[in-house]
Amino acid sequence: MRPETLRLLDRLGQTNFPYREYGGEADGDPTAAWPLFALTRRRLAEQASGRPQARIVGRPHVEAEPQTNSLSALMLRLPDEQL
Amino acid sequence: MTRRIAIFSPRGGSGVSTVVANLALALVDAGVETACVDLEGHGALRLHLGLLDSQDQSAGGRAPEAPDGLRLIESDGSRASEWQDGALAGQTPARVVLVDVPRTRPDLQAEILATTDAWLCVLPADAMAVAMAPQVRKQLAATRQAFVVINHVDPRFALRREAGLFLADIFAARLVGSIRKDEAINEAQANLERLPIFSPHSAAWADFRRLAAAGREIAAGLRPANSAQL
Repeated sequence: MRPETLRLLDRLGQTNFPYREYGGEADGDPTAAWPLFALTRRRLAEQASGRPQARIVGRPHVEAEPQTNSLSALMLRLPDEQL
Repeated sequence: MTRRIAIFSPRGGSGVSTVVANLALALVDAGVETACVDLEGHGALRLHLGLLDSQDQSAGGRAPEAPDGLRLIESDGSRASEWQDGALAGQTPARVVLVDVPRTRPDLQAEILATTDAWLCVLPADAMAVAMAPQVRKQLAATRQAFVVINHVDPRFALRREAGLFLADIFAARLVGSIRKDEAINEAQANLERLPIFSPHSAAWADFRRLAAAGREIAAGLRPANSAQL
């Protein structure tokens, strides 16, 4: 935490202020904070290798996929017809 | 020889009409006779091109005019080939025809994509475009003359920046340009003016002028250089 931030919180009596330290771009993959990028990379790799993609509308196993607000459910709702 | 370029996006709100209208204006600015085609009937291109009339013509006001070299073709899309007839009508056929492919008319999409010489896919720099990237890549693989422009680029926001870079990486071989998110586009519309008239020094207009260089090469049947700045 930056020293001036610490001083300000101290003056305000907020020593237990929740604080998350974010890394800079030099600390690694800047997309790592968002799982969507990893998922899309995986789908692109599957596409490039010719392996069947795990989540394509119309495949038999799709109906077994839970219809929730999860990211995988979102992918299921992106039919090819939208393209 | 007239070259037809279909401009489309896998999802709504990507700025397709913005790209169609301002790319047309930039091509005309570069001396290329251009027609653009609106098949949705909502007047989106008319607004972008500064052709909506705020004057009461019965009181002597003058209707706004398109710049020399630019033609707007509007159709309800009841017959897809209408735009082809309209684009080629007249003594001086347009050298480039930009077709605003309507997402609301999937029946027209297939016909337009099948009858145009090149495709320009508009992808916004956001999470949904990243999610759709595999399907888009598959679709664009259908032709070598399919290109990508990344829209709504805004380096001030980390996710938008990374999404833009991610898309640029995935579509590197097809990427021809990028357009920065710029309130000047919105303000030009609100003023019923064209972007290059309302804000000639705006970031977006600079990007459209760069994109026009790529558009000229696409129109010439070449593979254009990448003008994207991400």
